Amino acid sequence: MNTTTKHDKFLEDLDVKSILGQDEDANIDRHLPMRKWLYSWLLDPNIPGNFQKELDKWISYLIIGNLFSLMFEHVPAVYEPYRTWFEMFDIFSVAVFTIEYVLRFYLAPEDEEFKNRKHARFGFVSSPFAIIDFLAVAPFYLKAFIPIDLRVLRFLRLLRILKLFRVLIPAIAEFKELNQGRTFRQKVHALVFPSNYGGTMQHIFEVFIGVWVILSVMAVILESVKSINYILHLQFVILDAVAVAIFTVEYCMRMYSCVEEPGYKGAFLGRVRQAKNPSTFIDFLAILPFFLEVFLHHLIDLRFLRVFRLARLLKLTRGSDATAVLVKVVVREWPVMGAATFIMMLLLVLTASLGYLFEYDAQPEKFENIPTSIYWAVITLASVGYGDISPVTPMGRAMTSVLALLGIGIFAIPAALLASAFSDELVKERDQLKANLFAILKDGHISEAEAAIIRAEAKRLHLTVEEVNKLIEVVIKEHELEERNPLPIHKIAENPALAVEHYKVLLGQIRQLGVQVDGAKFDEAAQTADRLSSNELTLWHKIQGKA
Amino acid sequence: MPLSPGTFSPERPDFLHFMAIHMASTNEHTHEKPHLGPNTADKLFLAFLVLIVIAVTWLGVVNYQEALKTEAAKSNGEAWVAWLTETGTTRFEADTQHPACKGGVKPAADAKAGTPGTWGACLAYILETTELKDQVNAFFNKPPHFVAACDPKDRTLMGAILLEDLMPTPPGSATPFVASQLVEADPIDYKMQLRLSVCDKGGYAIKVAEFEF
Repeated sequence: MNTTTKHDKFLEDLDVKSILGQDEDANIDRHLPMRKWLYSWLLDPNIPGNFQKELDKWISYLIIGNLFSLMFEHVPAVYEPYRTWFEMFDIFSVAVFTIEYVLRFYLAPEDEEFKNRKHARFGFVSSPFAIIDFLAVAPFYLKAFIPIDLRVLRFLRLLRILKLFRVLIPAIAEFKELNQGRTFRQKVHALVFPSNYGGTMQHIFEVFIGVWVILSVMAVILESVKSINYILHLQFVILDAVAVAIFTVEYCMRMYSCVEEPGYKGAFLGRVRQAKNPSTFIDFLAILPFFLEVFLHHLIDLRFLRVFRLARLLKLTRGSDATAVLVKVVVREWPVMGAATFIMMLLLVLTASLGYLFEYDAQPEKFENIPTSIYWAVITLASVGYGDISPVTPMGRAMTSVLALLGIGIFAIPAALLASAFSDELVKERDQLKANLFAILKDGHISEAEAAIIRAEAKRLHLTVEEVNKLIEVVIKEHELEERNPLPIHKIAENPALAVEHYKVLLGQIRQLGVQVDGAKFDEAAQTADRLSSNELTLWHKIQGKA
Repeated sequence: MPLSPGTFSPERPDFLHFMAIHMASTNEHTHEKPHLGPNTADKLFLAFLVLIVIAVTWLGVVNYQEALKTEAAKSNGEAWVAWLTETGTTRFEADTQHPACKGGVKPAADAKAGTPGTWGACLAYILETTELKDQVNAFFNKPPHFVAACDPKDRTLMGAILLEDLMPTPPGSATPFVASQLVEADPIDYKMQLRLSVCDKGGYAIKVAEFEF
């Protein structure tokens, strides 16, 4: 890690934007020939900051949009009223895909893959990607000349999904390269768990799972809308089965490969530990209702089970750090929050009892017993005030006034505690990043691997370029200060191990001095006017290995 | 750097995690080369995965078939709605095609099922002469029956039809109408507002339509 490579950034030419991967200003010469210039801006994957990635991303979105459009076209109740919109979207998609194809065809002579061929454009046209691109748009034009059955046409339009291979194939190639010489289980691990071996493929896997989580949760929500469920019931059933199949495979892959994760070693115990992990338990909850619904539908209320499927939303917390921070903060502040909760409960029971005492005679149907009064006390203390139960006696009203004022303070305590704990946690994590930056910058340069770490940390803590810049400035200043002001001798003397290290450093400096100075002249100067005693001079010679 | 692979949190890939992985990856090259192809455990896992996918697919198919039964129940309901709506537009005419369902014929106050002008007479006519008599409740492979209400606790009601008469309430009421099951002795001499629902697999009512008859 400490070997300096051509990618290393030194402190004097540190560019935080490039470290954070945000150097989006592509350096493309304006005076390039038109074709080369266009290729550089739109299709060259080797120029950081051009539009190539953006273009790929939006084309991918359009392909996914086409997939949904195709799916809904099979539902007459959705398709018939919006037929024009569906057709417009199809025309728009074909237009975009055609422009993309023509552009790639025109720019093929600039492409590294085809430029050295005799007929670059023919090379492009006969390449697998170009054939897929052609198949994606051909049916649309074909139907203008040949009457094609609508079902066949729809099937042919499904071929547009193949365009996603433009993104997938490079990711698979990268994944293969990263995992060369690794076992099957390690490869599965690299795909499902974040690691240095996952690359773009792991990111695609996470996005894929995320998309299915969102889709299945949306389906659960829309299922509760009777008019939508009436039309799309079958589609919801299919979608749920596909989502469960995907989540089940994901769960099995995680359970199988978790033993590659440090901290989960052991074929059985490691997996048990993984199964008990909150995020894995959530994964299990995400698939459980499906199986329960099939086997126990005659015992358990189906509506309850369907709502239970909303737990899938929790799967998204795997990609976010916020839940872990929340749990950490609550656990840390639990003693204080527990005390606040205890006071709250005390006040609640006391108020409810007094409410019952004062109001029962006046409104026996509303303040029927203490548990009913507890409901009234909670609603009042929390400043919600539905008004379905309210005091009518002077004593009851007086008490409610005091209670409402107290409620503001009492309920605010846990909220304030949590807010301040969150803020503390953020400061702590930034301090940690600062310490890590300090360790990274100690050798005066940032390697590619270290830049990747800074990138990941900055992303996790949601830091902007300016914030990271500021942190790096602070670290550099502290670093310089540390170099200028070493620890005082008495501080070093307090720690024998540190003293030994200090002694070694001093000896090293003396030896270095000996190597660089002219030995004869040094001896002469030392003996002149008794600058060094004979013992001191002997020690010098010993250290230099001359004695 | 004071970092070691053992100090990271397995919950999230933080700084130390990345460092640990990086260090582990640099160390790995010094180890002896492991067996790279799928070993027995990997093959077992793959077989298990295939089994799981087959099982989920099978359960998905079972769910789909059950959903198809609900769709069939909905289709039954839609056919009833279509017939009743169409008849509703002509049944007040003198030469109506379906005299048993004719409107404007007031039955006696103590009319029984089957008396002309009652729903019972119209229902009997429908089940004898129209294509609706051939309907099948896909849940039980029997003709669908009319029920008073769908009940999740009673699974024998799956696929049953619930036909309700919507009686408008006086202006200013909290609810615009009161729904009551259309029973055989009910008179159908006036323009009626009906609601037809079917009971789904869970025993809940699925509203098919509200229509005039």
